[in-house]
Amino acid sequence: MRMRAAVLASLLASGLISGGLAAGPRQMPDGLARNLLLQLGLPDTDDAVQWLLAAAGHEPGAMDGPAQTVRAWPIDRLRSALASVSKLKKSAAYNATLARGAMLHADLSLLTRGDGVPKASGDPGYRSPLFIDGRRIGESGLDMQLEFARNVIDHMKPRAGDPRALQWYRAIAADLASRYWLLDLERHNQDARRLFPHEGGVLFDNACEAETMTSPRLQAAVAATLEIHASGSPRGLATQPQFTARFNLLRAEQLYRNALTAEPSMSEARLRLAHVLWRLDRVKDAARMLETATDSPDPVVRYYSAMIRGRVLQNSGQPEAARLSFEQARTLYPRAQSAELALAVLARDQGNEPSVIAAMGRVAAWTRTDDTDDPWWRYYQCNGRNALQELERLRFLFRTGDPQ
Amino acid sequence: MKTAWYFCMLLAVSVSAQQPPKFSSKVETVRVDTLATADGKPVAGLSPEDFEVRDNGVVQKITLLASDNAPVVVQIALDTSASLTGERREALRRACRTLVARLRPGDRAGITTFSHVVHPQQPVAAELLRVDDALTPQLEPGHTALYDAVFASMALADGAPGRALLMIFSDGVDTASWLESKAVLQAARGSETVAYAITTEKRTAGFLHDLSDVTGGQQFAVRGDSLDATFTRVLDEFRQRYLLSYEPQGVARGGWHQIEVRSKRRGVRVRARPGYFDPRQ
Repeated sequence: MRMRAAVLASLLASGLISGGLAAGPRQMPDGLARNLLLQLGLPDTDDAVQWLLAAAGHEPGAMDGPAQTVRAWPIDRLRSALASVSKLKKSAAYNATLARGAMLHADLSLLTRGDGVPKASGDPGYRSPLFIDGRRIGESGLDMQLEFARNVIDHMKPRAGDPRALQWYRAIAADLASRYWLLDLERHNQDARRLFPHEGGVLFDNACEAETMTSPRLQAAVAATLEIHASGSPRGLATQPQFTARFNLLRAEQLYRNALTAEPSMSEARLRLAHVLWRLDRVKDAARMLETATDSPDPVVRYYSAMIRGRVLQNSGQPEAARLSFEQARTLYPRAQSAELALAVLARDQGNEPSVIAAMGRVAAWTRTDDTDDPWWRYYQCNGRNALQELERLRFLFRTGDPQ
Repeated sequence: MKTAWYFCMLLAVSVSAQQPPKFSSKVETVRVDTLATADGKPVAGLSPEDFEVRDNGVVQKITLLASDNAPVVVQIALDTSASLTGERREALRRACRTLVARLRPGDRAGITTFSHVVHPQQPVAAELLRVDDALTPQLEPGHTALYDAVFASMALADGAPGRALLMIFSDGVDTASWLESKAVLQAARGSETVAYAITTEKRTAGFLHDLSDVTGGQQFAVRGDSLDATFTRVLDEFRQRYLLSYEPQGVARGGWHQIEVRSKRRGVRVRARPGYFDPRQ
């Protein structure tokens, strides 16, 4: 047993499996690893050793040999390996190696899209599609690979101070949001907030998740479950108040405020908070919030800002200012259906039928439509719209140690 | 929509080079599309004297603008999101073809499909040609912007001259609209278009129920094999409605006006929109 611990410590100390940030990518060639293990007298069939080698050898973003090695391991085996590794927390490369392990298991989730998740008795690793009126709106269940990855980060010492852990949490949150993997997202964000309670980005992700719960598609799912419940069928999520729109709007309000306290310049948090306030029928509060909003370099955020501002102005009895705001949105995204409809409703309210007809004519002229035409369609994905960039930044950080 | 544009009959459109055209707020005619039934079946041959219309409780002098043989404008709005697949889609295609075959000379029709994207496939025209195109197998892999689609469809129907019927086929669940249901219902209250909702399950509440109610239309729940019959029934029923009109007398202008329509004939029940919104101050 003592020999085994010594081998693991040697592996960590060797730098060969650290994947250290400063040193750039470190991958241990298979032959070298085996030679080292033979010299140290430990067979490479030891789970802890295999896991360390896989973590060190994994190329972020690739379904490579190291990833394949541990892909099918059941959770009990992974936990056992991690328990062995965690005894070596005083080793210099400990955190770096665990961070690479978290990346490895995140990639197993990301690259397999939740397929082929190993299961063990009593294990929360299951996943099933979530449907509403025939459409798949996301996933229900927890991804065991991500659960384990979070577990790995939990073993880092000190975990909250590690920049890799923060970027890991934010990138994975973006990915989960983009896919509507909601149970995973909730668990993930709770963990992130526990580790980084004052980090603006993490608070923003948590607020977004609460706002997503208020989205029409999620609330449609809740309503459908209510109908099932009313008919005497199984009790479901609708029986729990934390799934109601109002509960989550209030939660989102508080979290966006916390995010802005941590990072006052976060323009998207400000406009989303204004939208939440508007939805809570606090139009004046929403207008005040928008007065302090700053410009964002991101055109999507500027579009959201123009649309939400227009909506608030319209409800504040300022139709002309609202029109200008909606037109600004249309200028940013000339094929945005929502901006055209917003303008058409305004025109109708003003008795301007020709403008309504003109707006409908423009919509009718769009023979082909792309999902990027109207950013509103992805509003409730929040930072999920940036998932690919966030993941690439994460992988780059793990490859090079450079946070870009 | 035709809103108080309805109020439109005098249509004093004032247009200047700089300003967008605005309809006059002088108003002055309200039109009420009314269905009269006995034992659940439409009743034909009624005259204005057979109806009583009250505007905010005040009896109005009515005229009959049109009944059975008047041309109609049919705007079809079809939810083609991912929940519409296989046999259901084919049944819908057949139902649309049947409907088109029953259009008469002088009738006009348009078709809009929607998922999260609203696609006005064909504007209102004398011939509805694009049913098959609209229901090609390449359905939108998206969500449902029902409120957006209803607003757009009503605007398109309102933009065409004539009595307008909006037929919406959807499962009735909005998951993606920019517009809110209350804004669209508000628009519907100001429209003369009558909305008939055809859904896959009967709902006693919800947006399509409310939409049918505020426009004086109806809601039908159907299975795939009865779509043909339902589409035909809706069109036939709409043709047998009476288009009543009056110039409001003895009521204050502006705001919400409650309309009550009743038949003076024993055993005849009527269905009409419950009111209209007068945007004038």
